[in-house]
Amino acid sequence: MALRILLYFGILALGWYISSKGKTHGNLMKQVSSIQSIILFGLIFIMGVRIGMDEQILTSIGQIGVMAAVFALVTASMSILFVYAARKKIISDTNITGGKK
Amino acid sequence: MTKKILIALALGILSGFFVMPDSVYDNTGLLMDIGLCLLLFFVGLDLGSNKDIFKNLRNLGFRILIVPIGTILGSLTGGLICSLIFKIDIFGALAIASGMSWYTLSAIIITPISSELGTIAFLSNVFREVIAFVAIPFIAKNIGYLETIAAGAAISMDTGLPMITKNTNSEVAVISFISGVILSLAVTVLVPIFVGFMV
Repeated sequence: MALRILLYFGILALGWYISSKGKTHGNLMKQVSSIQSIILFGLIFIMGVRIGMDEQILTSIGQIGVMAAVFALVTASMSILFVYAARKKIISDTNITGGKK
Repeated sequence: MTKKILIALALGILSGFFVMPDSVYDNTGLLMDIGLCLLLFFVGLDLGSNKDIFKNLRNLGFRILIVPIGTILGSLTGGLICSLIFKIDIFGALAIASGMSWYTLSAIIITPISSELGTIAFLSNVFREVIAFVAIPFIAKNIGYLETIAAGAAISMDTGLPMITKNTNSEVAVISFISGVILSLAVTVLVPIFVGFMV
């Protein structure tokens, strides 16, 4: 895992360095958002393919799918609620909170 | 955005189930790694073009830790609630909740103790990743930017990062990466601890 974190950090830092030094073509920077969208949807599609081909997921959905879905919904919702409550008290910078107070 | 994500995901699942030959599965991991690295590079380009990011984050200081801490406490509370709903072993439920979207690791650690709870851990963390992907645009628009990190938890440093960057801003992208690293480390510590207490 440490290697993976280093790899991701290295790639982020490389992009950041190239861009901060102004070594990117203006046209490329204009297209960054569109390129990100295309790759992102490709990634989500591949994630779907993996789910569709994974027998372990497909066979277990029938048996314990509802329980797993409830677990996912409750844990994600409670995490959102805790972060929401904490940032309401602690962080007031609307640039970080997305305009929410 | 949410509709497009759902369509891309549904098309992927359907083609994975009906169209793709089995041999494709082995290559999807590599494809995802390449796509992810490309995305992270472009996220880096975005970050580099914003000169004020680190100045803004310096002002926040240790307060950004509320994101990973809140996410962990929220997940564990969710696990406690689920143990009451389904009447399952409390430490088993906490171990499942501690997976925080890292489905491979949590399932691998839990399965030797209980294959049923291991499968629930696997599936629930897959679902949490999918839910986060679909919900991030809605959360960013209606609840707040930092809460997008809480939804996906550990995936905030890799697969979830491009989605968070696209729907929030550069400052939140940096907080997302830092939080994702802390949350991933927390998974490696919390899951084995709770598995150790399972009966």
